[in-house]
Amino acid sequence: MLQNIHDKVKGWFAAILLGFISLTFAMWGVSNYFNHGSGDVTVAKINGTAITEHELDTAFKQFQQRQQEAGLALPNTPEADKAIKQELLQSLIARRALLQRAQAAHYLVTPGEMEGMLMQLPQLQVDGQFSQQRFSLLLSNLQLTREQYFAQLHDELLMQQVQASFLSTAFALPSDLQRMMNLRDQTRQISYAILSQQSVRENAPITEGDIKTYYEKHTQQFQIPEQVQLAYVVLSLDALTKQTHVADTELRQYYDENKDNFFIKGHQQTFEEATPAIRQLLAQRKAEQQFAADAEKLANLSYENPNSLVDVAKTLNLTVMTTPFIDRQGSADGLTSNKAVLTQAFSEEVYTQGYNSSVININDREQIVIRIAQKKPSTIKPLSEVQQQILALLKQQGVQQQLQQKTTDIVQALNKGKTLPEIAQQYQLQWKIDQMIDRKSVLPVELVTQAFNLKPKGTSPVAADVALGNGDRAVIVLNRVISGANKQLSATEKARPTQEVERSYGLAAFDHFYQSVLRQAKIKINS
Amino acid sequence: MTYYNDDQQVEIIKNWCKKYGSAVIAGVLVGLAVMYGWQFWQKHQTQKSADASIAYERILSDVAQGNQTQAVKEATQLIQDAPHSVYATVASLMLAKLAVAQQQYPQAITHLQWVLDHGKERAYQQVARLEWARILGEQQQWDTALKTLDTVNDPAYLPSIQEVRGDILLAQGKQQQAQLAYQAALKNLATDSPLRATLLMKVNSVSEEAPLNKVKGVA
Repeated sequence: MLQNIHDKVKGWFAAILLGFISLTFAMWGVSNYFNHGSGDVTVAKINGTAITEHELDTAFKQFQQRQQEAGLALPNTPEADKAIKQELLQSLIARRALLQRAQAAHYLVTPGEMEGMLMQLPQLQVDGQFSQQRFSLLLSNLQLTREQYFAQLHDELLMQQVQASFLSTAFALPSDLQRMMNLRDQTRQISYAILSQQSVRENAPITEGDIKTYYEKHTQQFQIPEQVQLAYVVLSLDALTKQTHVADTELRQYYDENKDNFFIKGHQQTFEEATPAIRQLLAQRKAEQQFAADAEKLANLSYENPNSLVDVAKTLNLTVMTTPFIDRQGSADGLTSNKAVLTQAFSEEVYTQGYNSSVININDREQIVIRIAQKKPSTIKPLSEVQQQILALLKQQGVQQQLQQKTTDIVQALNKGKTLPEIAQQYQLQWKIDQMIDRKSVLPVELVTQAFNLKPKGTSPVAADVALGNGDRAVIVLNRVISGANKQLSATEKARPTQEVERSYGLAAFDHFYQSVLRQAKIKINS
Repeated sequence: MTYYNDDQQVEIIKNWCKKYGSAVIAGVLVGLAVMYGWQFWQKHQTQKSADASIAYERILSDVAQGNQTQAVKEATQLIQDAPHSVYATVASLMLAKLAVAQQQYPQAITHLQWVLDHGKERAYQQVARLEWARILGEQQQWDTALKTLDTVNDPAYLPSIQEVRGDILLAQGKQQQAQLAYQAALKNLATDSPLRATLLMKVNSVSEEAPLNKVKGVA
């Protein structure tokens, strides 16, 4: 009997086990396709799912590309790269945590939405139409497969949906609008005085020692960045056209075959008359063929002989030329102002390894390959060269210190109960008394900002000083804060403030959601 | 070690099949059933979410085109068709917004109540509580409004809780308490938050001490 039960249990156990195994395959089989192959290092784990080094690298590459497209120079040092990667990792983590939460809530991006989005992306439009070619180009630029790109797009849309859910449902109440208008139309009554830089005398003279100390403490400021000189060859369609020889027999043949083309305005051109045009046309055609063939050779030869441009120049009958020295910022014009050239010049392959660059298309008619001719390491300008600069700077600092001391003293005196006339006399200054200002008043912007940043204190006036943009300083005394009057707004007048209030509540709600998700996520970073 | 010849091996396999064969087949069947059942269930859920997602998109475009009546109708339908979907929760918040636009506050509160009772995703419930408190403030039910704020129970929402608290206190004329609330909001806000500018305006406009009635001349 017992044995019987035992057998039965075994049987059922086997069944459940098998069922379990099938289930495992059903669920895990799919997700396996998405793994980036084995051996990929995990850099962080969010609620148990990994962010791999590969993902971080991809994000980094995309970041670099965006920077380049925006025309922003990249710091490109290992430390800067590391800092950027840290930042990117944080945002990948936040993004992953949000996506997990959105998926848990069963937010869903439909295929229709994906398609709609893809068709509308402005960078994929040619003449108002979706361009398959542009799409392929985008993928190769991002170094993504179609599936990876769609996965990213999907996540993007999912995040947008979640954000939109908060933004689209936020509302503005009448009192919200009133409160905002009251703040915006607020006026303040202030008294103020402006103290110019000329109102203070120079401090004790600045010594050589002062200058030297400053120089030694701020060497970074006087650094000349590393520079490179580039060697390059240009394959130019225009140059080829000029060099191309067209034989007289070819000219004659073309003329004979296309006589009709030279019957212009009722007049048949003679061969001699037509020759310049034919020569131009045939030279152009030949040059274009030559250009296409040479372009391929340029790519192959510069890749096969990565350590020199001499061979490729010899084969294609080009001259190796050099640029002036440039740093990572490049030059204002010419070849070294070209972003693609700069990017390649300071890339791993070209800058670090010293190889030829890949072919750079300057435009339809010019292709170039570059390599580093010479490197100049980063240096520090000698003290003698920057002495005057430091002297001027220290003088300016001295003046500023004194001016600041003066305005600080005035504020303290005001706080101790000195009156405005007393201060005016003691410090030889002129007050503008009891001025009514609003947020848009035409006064130095720092003065207005500071006046509106001062917190009222009951019935007592509040004093403060502020530095102005031109180097002068101001002392401000706030007397009164007057809330904007309650106004009846028409429907059209309401529209914009309503949107602003809604947006602000919507953003707040999303921001809190985001913070909350991050707080609750289990995040582990492998350093 | 025991060695078996071929016949013995066949015999062993036969016996094993006799003993476990039906269990194995049953197991495979159960496995397949679970597998297909799981896939079917997933598909079904996905389809339901997709329908709700599309319906919500339609509501958004109605609202954008100023077609409020249609939006209300479709949102109500969505909540009825897929009450467990997260889109129903968001649709309910949208209904509250549309009611607020008509100043129909009791109705708005009904929709917020639905989110609290049936809503998916805790974040929307916190939002509903904050919105509820604001509506109560609008109706000058100060104490209930402040109590409702206390029900928002996620520390990530502190900046908004404190800011709304400040707004309510200020509306009651309690300047100093409002100032404290605004400062608490500011303290809890990330330094790069887009909400900082408005909050600073509020902090810098409210007196820290007794209200500004009379102004003593400085001169």
